[in-house]
Amino acid sequence: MDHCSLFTRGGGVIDPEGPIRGFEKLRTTIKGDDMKKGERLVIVGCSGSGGPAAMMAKKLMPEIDVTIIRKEEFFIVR
Amino acid sequence: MLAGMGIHVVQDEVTRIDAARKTVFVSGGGTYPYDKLYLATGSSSFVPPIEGNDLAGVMTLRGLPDAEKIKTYLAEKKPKHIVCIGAGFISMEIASLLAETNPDGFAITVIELMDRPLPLMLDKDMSDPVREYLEGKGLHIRTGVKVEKLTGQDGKVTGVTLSSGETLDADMVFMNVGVRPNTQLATDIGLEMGRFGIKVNAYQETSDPHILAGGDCVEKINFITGKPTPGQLRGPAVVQGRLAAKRLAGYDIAFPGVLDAGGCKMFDMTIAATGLTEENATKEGFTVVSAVVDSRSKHGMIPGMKPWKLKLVFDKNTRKLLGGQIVSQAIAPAREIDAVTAFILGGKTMADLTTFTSACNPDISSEPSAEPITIAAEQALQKVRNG
Repeated sequence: MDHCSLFTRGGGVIDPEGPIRGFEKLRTTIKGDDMKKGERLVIVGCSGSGGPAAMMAKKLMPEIDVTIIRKEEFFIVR
Repeated sequence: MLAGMGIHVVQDEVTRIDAARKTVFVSGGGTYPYDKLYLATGSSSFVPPIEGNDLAGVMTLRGLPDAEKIKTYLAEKKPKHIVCIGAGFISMEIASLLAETNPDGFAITVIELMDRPLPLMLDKDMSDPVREYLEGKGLHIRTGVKVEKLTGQDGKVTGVTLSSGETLDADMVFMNVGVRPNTQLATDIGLEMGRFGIKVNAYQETSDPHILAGGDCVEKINFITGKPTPGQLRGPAVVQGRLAAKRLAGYDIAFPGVLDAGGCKMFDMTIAATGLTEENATKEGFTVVSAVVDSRSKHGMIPGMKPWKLKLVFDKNTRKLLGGQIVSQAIAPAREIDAVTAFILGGKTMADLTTFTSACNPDISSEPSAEPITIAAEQALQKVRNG
């Protein structure tokens, strides 16, 4: 398996000797458990990662309910 | 923007998560049930536990409120002697911005425990010209020295004492020596933790099947070494956020790991780096071959040409590219670091790189014969051939 094949869809196989071998410890838990219409995604934090997660979720799954909860008034971090 | 997309935005502090009932509680009394939860709790500046770290005038920089606090302090207290502890990119950017804003107004000293500025991004041979440039701009850079304590008077910082016993005058101190992941909520609900944050798999899934996490609060895996790493940079945070959403939508795309690719700008100098430095690659057990090449931002005959420098680091055994560093006096060449990143992710070797042809134009890049990625690869190949 070369590195490029890690980026393809549908395979879902992680080469234990490959460049992401450190990940294999955790069970792949939600494959086949896609979010359905009306389900609720709650995101805690909205800076580098929470904002993009919310926007992508809404773009790919417009029928789900997305809520971001953030403590800060601002979005920018360095 | 978020609200316009139909996303509910709640400004409140999450105080507790009940993972069994799949509910989030906030300080205002509200509760938010979820089917899936994404934790993006970020990180906070690490303040070393040294005497005097709570004195007025001791600052960190992370977000906008910090920047506003700094601006107010500068306007009201008019500090003269400024000391930046740590020579990472945040510290160096603060120092250079202050010097640029008020060239004769501040005496700025940067203190670094290691032997060079930007020690995590650059090897010494690449850091030396940066140091020379910054010292030419008036910054005082002290490396290989440790801060013992901060001294003060009437609750306000007045000095920085080094382990040598020397005390530097300081009426404002910046402490930027890294960040720590915000993991309290995750710890409270018993998510599996790694050394550098919440443990996730390549799909951003945590040990709870209904909770994903990403960004600064999670532990990353280094793409090259396969070892856990903090990887607390904006690039991976954004990509991991999008990737988690894709996973929830049924996509099957794995995060490949991080290369700690990053950049910073100080005065007119731009620095960018990706992958392993020669020093770190050696520490990781690689037998390393490297090459440094000086290049030009434009064709040598075009007015406005600025010099830039590239270093590539290869594994001598597999001949694969491990890392790259750029020091440039123009902004545009620094983006070539993204090509270096792509080559590392693609597992390219020094031989592969010798045939790399860049999109060149006399006004926007060096002439093809001075394309430094190709030249560095050729030099490395020659070093290997010559033993």
